[in-house]
Amino acid sequence: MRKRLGTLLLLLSYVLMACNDIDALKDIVPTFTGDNPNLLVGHWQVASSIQGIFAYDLTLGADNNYILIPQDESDTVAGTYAIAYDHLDLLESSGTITFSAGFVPGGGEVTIDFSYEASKEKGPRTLKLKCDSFQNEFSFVGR
Amino acid sequence: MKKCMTFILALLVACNLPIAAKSKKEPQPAETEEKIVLPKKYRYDFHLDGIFAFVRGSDFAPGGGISLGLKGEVYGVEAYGMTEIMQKPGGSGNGGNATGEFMIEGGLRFVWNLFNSQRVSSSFTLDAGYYAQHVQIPTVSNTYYRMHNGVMVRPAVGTVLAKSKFYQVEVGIGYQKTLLPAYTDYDGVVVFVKLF
Repeated sequence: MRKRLGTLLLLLSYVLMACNDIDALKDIVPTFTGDNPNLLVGHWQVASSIQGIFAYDLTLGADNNYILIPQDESDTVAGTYAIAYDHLDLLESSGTITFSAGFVPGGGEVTIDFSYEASKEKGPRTLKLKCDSFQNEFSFVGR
Repeated sequence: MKKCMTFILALLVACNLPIAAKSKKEPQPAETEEKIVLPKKYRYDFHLDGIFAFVRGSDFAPGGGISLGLKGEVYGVEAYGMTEIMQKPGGSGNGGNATGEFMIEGGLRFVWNLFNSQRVSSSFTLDAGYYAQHVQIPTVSNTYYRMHNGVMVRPAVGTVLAKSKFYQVEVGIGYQKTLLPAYTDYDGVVVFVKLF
């Protein structure tokens, strides 16, 4: 009886030690998921007619927060966004994107069609946003 | 008493006489001209596969797999699992679209032996399985997203070049095609080497 109890305690201690090691392995073992990746993360701009000046500056964060800065930088809009794909590919995707705060301060939630294009050599290239009140082609600046 | 004993002895002798005796041997089957030939036994077939695929036109994608099944004189069937690792994730060598990409696949392989001699043997194989693309994007580390997936078919021809008791070396070439839905990036020529 004592031997069995000792063996059981020894096994339990090994299991507890292994649990601590599993936490360390989480950083090494990759995660596999069936969720859709967010390909739109990055800094995007719409060039204006004046060289060096942008018409719109849009930052889409990996945490689903966005910031839209118009040309005069006075009416910055910030909020959260959500993407729904109807076609998903690394080089060409499309769907709808919902901005919680819209495009103007005090604006409400707006859902807009988007199309994303990337090239094999240069990565993300353009992000086209299109709806009745807003239609612009953003160029990729960086991440 | 003597009459009974005599009767019993006479009865015993009569039972052993061939006239009265029933034949103890089983009736022999009539000989026929055609002999029934039983099929030779199938043998278990196990392979370690080394694969080189050319996806997206000319992008190199090495990989490997295992297969296990039954192989007979003419036909065979195997279950296989394999993976291909794209050397240019997302088609780009600079990681702009993806920092990692690989494809896993599993299914059944049907084998038809075309030619068999003491030195070499050739076979036609048809793989039919399910594939799934897994991609790691630049903005999220250590996470692989399953994107394109569907049915993969791969007709191929292979030739066993070396064979011994413990191993064999088979080389072959084929073409892999995605279906349902089609993902043309993964269509391309495959060269494989099978061991054991």
